[in-house]
Amino acid sequence: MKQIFNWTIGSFFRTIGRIVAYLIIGAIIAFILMYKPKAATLTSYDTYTKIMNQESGCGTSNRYSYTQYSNNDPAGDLWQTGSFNTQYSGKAAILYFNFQYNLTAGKYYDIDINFNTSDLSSALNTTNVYVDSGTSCQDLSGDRVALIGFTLSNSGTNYSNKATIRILANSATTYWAIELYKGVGQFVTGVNNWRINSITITEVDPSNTNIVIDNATNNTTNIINNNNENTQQIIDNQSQLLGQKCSNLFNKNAVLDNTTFDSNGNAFTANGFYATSDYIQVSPSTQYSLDSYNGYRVVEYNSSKTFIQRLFDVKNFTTSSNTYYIKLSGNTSNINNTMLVKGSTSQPYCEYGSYTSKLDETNNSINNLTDTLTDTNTDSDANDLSNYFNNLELSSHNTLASIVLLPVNFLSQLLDNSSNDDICAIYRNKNICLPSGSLIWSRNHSLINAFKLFFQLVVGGYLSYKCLTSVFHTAESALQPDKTTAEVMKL
Amino acid sequence: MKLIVKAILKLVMKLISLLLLPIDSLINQHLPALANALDSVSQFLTWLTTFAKWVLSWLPLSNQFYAFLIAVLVFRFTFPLLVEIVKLAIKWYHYLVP
Repeated sequence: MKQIFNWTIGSFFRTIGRIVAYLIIGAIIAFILMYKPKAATLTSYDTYTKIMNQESGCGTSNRYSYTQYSNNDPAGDLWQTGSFNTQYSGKAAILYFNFQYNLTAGKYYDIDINFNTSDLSSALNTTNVYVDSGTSCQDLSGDRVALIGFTLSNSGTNYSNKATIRILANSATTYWAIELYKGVGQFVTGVNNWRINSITITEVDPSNTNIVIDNATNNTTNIINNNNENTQQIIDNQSQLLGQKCSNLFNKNAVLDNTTFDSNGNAFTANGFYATSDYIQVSPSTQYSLDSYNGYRVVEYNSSKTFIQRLFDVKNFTTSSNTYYIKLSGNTSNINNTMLVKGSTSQPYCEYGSYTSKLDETNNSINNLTDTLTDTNTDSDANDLSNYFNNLELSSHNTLASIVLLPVNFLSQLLDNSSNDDICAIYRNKNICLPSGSLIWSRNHSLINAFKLFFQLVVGGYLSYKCLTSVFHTAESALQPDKTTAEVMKL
Repeated sequence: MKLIVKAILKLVMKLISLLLLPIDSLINQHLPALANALDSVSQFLTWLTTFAKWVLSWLPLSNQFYAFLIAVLVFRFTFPLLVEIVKLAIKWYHYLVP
C-alpha cells in the first residue's frame, strides 16, 4: 500500500510541487530581468532662483532675488519680459538657478532645458547657448559648455527650443547659469521675452554615451554602405539597360569632307577623302587597329598637339612614344565602316558613342522563347504523359477491382494528402466534416514543435527501423536462390 | 521518390484491374445485383478510408515519412515479384539457349 501510495498520490503531489517551484523560480527570474534601476529625475521648477533684473548684476542683493518659485508658474514669473542685454560687468547670465537637491559628486547628469521666446529676432540672434557653473553666483569659473541640440522650432506664435547638456556633478558646484551668446564672447543685446519652460535633471550612465556613439557610427556606416550599394545598383542597372559602349574612337560626324593630310600633316583638298576635324586622344606606344580598309592616313601629335609624323596607307599601327593625339583620313566611300579601336584585333563596326542595347537582346530572347513555346505543343505532350496510365481504363465498373485495390488506392491518396482542410465524408446525406490534425501540427509553437520532434524521433524512428528491417528481410528472402514462389501483395 | 512511388502504384492498380477485368465484366453483365452489392461495399470501404486519413492527420508525422512508409510497402510487395520475373527470364534463357 505504501508503494502504491508513493507511486500515485506521492508522485502527483511531487509533480505539483515541482510545477509550483518552477513557476516561483520563473517569476523570480522574470522579475530580475525586468527590474532596472530607475534613474533619478529631478525637476528644478521648485529649486531655481531668478535674477529679477539682470542689469543690476549678480552681486547686488536687493536686485538679485533668491525667491523660491513654485512648481506651477501661472503668473508667468519665469518670463524675462521686456528687452535686456546679456552682458553686465563681465557676466553674461540671464537666469541663475541652483540645485537644492544634492547631486552625487562624480556622477553624470543630463540637464534638459526647454526655452521659449516670443521674439524670433532675438532667438535668431542668439546663436549659442551655454551652461556655466561655479561655487557661487559671482564665481562662475567652471568650464563653459555649449548646449547640445539647440534648435528652434515654431509653435504657434512662440518659438521654443530644447537643449540638453551632460554634466559631471561636483559637490562644490551648486550654481548654474544659462548664458546667451551671439558668438564667442559676443553677448546678445535687446533680448525680448525669454523664459525657461522646464528644466529636467536625469542621472545617466556615461557608458550609454558609448553605446549611442557606437549606434550612431554603425547607422552612419550602414547608411554609407547602403548608399554605395544603391549607387552601384543604379550604375549596374544603367549599364545593363544601356549595354556595352561602342569602343570605336572614330566619330564619323566630326569630319571634313574632301580633305586629307599631306606628309607634313597639313590638310588639303582631295575629292573622295575625308579627314577628322577633331583630335582623337590616344595613348603613346600603343597598338591601334582599323577595319579591313588599308588606305588610311594617320597623323600623330604630341601632348601639345604638335605634328610628329604622318603614317600612310595603314591598317594597324602603333603610336610613337610621345603621341597623345591623332587625326585620321580615309576614303569617303568607307566612312560608314571606319572602326578605330585600341588593341591589335579589328572589331565589327559600331557607331561612335553608341551602346549595344540590352533591351533589344532581351526582346530577341523573349521573341525566340515565344516562338519556341508556340512551335512546340507542350500542352498536348503534358496531357499525353499524365493520361498515359489513365488511358488504360478498361471498364467503367471495376466492382471487384475497386475492392481489391482499395488499400493501394488509399496509399495513393495518402501521398496526395497535404492540405490542411477539414476531412469530410457524407453520412446519411449529411456532410460530416472533422477538423484535420494538421491545423494543430502546422502551428509554430514551441511546445507543439517539441512534441512533434519527440514523437517523430521516438515513434517515427521506431517505425523507420521496423521498415528498414522489413526491407532487409524481404530482400534477403527474395534473393534466396532456392526460393521459387513469388510473394505477391497481401491484399 | 514520391512521384516514382505514385507511378508504381498507378501501374499496379492498372495491371490488377486488367487481371480482374474478365471477372468484373461477367459480374456486371450477368449478376447486376452482385455488382451493386460490390459497389456498395467498395463505397463503404472508401468512406472508411476517408476517416483513416483523418486519424493519420492527428499523428504528428510528416508527409515525407508517409511517403517513405508507402515506398517501403511498395517495395515489399513488388520486389519479390520482380526477382521472380528475373529468375523466370534466366530460367527461360537457359532453357532456350542451352
